[in-house]
Amino acid sequence: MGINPEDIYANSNNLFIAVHPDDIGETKIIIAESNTNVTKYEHSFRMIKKDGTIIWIHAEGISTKQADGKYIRNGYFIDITPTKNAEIEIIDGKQKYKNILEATDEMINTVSLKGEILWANNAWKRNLNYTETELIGLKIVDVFTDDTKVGFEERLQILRVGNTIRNHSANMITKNGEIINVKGTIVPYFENGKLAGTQGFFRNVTEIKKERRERLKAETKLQRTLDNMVTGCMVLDFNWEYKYVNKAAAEQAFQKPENLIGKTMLEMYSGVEKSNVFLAYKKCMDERIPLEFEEKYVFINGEVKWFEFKVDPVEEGIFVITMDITERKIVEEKIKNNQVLLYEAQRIAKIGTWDLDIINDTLYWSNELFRIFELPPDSGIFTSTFKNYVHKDDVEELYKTFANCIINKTILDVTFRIQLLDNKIKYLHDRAEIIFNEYNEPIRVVGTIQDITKEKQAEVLLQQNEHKYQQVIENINDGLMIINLNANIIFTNNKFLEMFGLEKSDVNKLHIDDIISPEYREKLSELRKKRFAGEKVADFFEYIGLCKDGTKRWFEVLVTNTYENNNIIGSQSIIRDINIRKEAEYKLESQNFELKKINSELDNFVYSTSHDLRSPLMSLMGLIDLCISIEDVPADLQQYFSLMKNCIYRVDDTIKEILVYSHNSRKYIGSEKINIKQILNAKLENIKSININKKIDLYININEHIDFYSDKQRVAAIINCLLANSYTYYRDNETTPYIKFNFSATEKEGKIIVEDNGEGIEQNKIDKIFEMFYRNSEKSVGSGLGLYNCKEIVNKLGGSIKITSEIGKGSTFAVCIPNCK
Amino acid sequence: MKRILLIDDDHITNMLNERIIKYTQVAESVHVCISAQKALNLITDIIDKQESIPEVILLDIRMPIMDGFGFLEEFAKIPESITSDVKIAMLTSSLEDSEKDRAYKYKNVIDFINKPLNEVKIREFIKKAETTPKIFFK
Repeated sequence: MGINPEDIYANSNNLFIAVHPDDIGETKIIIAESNTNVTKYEHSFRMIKKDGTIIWIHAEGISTKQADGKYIRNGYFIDITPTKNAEIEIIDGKQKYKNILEATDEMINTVSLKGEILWANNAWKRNLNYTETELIGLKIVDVFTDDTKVGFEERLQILRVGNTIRNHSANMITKNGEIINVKGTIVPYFENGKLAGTQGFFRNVTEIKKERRERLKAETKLQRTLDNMVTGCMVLDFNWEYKYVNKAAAEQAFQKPENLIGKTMLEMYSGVEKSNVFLAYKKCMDERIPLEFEEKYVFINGEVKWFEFKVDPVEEGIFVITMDITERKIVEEKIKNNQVLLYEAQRIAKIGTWDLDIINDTLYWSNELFRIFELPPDSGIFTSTFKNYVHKDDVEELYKTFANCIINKTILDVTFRIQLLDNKIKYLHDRAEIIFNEYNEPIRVVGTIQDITKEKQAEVLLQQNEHKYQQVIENINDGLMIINLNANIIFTNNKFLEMFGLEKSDVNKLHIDDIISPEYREKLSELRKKRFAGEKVADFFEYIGLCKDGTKRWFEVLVTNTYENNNIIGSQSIIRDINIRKEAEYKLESQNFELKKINSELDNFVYSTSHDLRSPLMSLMGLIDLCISIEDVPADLQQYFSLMKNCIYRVDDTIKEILVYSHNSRKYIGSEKINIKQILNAKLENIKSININKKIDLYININEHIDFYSDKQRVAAIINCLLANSYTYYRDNETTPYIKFNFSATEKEGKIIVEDNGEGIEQNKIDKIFEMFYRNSEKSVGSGLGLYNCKEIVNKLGGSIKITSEIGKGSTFAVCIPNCK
Repeated sequence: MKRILLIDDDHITNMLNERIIKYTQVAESVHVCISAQKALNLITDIIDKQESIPEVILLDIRMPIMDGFGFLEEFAKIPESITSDVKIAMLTSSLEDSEKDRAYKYKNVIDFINKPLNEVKIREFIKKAETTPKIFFK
């Protein structure tokens, strides 16, 4: 016990230390009773040894009271552990069996030879709803249904002779009147070698039976269903024998079920073991794993069919479901083709699609969308990363718009920029629809994104251009106006408004006649009608316009039709205010008229003066001639008359030169075919009549192969001047004085050369001879205007004059005049 | 021999010219008119009398009221049958070629004489007048 004897001697209570805690209370009570009553005690209890093992102790003793009031117990302890353990085991065993009997679902009972129930377990009570007292003594036959009662006596006989009845089915009636099916064994039992009764071991099979019935019913139904199903079903056993084939499965193979069942696959289709289908079957058969696959069949009749196979391992072998998916395949193929087309279309149109699952926050992008973002396809995209691509200036607006779409349940239609990794900026047009669930919560967004960078750039460019044009239109100094076919003004620039003193608001209700002076309306309307009809009419003209304040001004207009799809829809006009020019023109015209008048008056004056001066001179000349012609006029008088005549010639000469000068400076330059010979003769006649005493040889050479055009009067004046000059400055000491006149013409110019062997001019005076009123010689009788006029006329005609001269030898004048042919 | 009609507003010129013509004896007779209008009146009178008009006319250009061209214009209105034998010389101190051209446009004008008239000029003209055929087409 591990207790020192000394301790027990000191106090017997120390023994209690080793008593099992569960037993100590009881033990103390017994001891106390024994002490009180001074009786014998007998008690078994457990004690715990120092090593922890438990032992059973049987203690017997008696307490006696001493004179000092103390008790003395005399007794003994016996270690009864083995006995006690065995005892416990028996009790435990009995209890165990009882427990088992009571706990089992098996209905167990004992029936006396009289057929009365002696004992029944809990299962009986449970299944039949009887209490124990109700059951005990009940005739067993009373719980059987009538059909079960049949053969009861015979079965009892079998039992009496000691035989067991197995697999006995019986129907029992519960206390509630329900019928339960039971199945089990009945055995006889003996006491002291004599038959004492029977024991029954039954199981309630009501549910099982019901289930089986149901199953049978279901199976039949299933079978029928399977038979009639469009889906093919069949069962193949491990030997590839068709165990079950439904109608559909058979028909799929152009067979009937009865032709297949009982046959093996290998028998039916030789070479089938190499087919994909068979290999799949085999895999399922061997490895016992379910498989699904699709297979294309080409039948002997050329028909192509697609089947979907589902193969499951089952007890018997494999269960195969075949489905004709040809239709679906065709559709799929079409979809696939369409998908390809769609992808292609998307690629070409640069349209990508996206699909956002809001609940799971997953974003799907089509390949094209990745391409737009210049990312490898399937590189993965998340709502969080998408935001990084959006241009920072557009992020806020984009998400705001998106949020608004969710709130207002509208379609998202937005254009925004993205900034790619290489800082490239793209313009995207996003159109998306938000899908809501029944609680009006957005659950999904499906959208398309189109890359409109090019269009946007073009647009921007266009805008810039438009802006440019706009600026040009507004800044040019011309008025612009566009009218429609009804001649209503539909557009003007500001300059136009300014020109006519209009306000921008006036334009809307303005007809073209409102800006045309009444006298021009009909004429311009006529033009407009023809122009709109496509006729070719004057597109540039001047007219008098009407300003808002009623003033009239001259305008110059350039009109062109405007077109839309090759149809004339109106016209546009560029209008310029030419009032100042027009006024200037008028002024010029009147000034010109005035000038012409003055010119004409001056011309008339010179003409009249010269005529009026010459007339009396000529009369005087005639009178002198008359005087000379009188007979017996004294010699000295003759000389005086001659001198008078010279004076008159000089005056006449001067008058003529003044006329030439006046004529040259004021008269328009004409152009006509020049007959040099005629002019020459006319002039020579005149000159000769003056220089009647001078015997000068004339050599005339005129080449008129090419027609020469110029101003006749001026050319005549030149010829006259040159010839007169040569006549004047002839040399008295020259024995054979001559004048050579030479004329020739080319297409470009006419050339007059007058050569003489007269006095000649000093080299240093050659330039001076063309000066006004310069007279080089004492012989000079003229006005000093002759060569000056000559030079002026040549200049006027755009020609040139050249002199080569040698004093005392003669001069050569060469004049070139452009041929105005 | 021709009958000559002188038309000039200048008395001295008329006197001179008359003398030269008479002196040179190129004409049967000389009649002088001091203005174009008077000359026209004379011609009308002659026509009225159904007599023949002078065959030669010396016509000054610059005259008051009606000048030489004015006379030519009116003269052109007289029926060609009456005037076809008449030759006209313009007698002028004008040097304007334009006037010469203008004068020649009238079919009866055959010469243009610069003043002063002298024996040579009148003889040449009378010669020219005699050699020029009847004036119908010009």
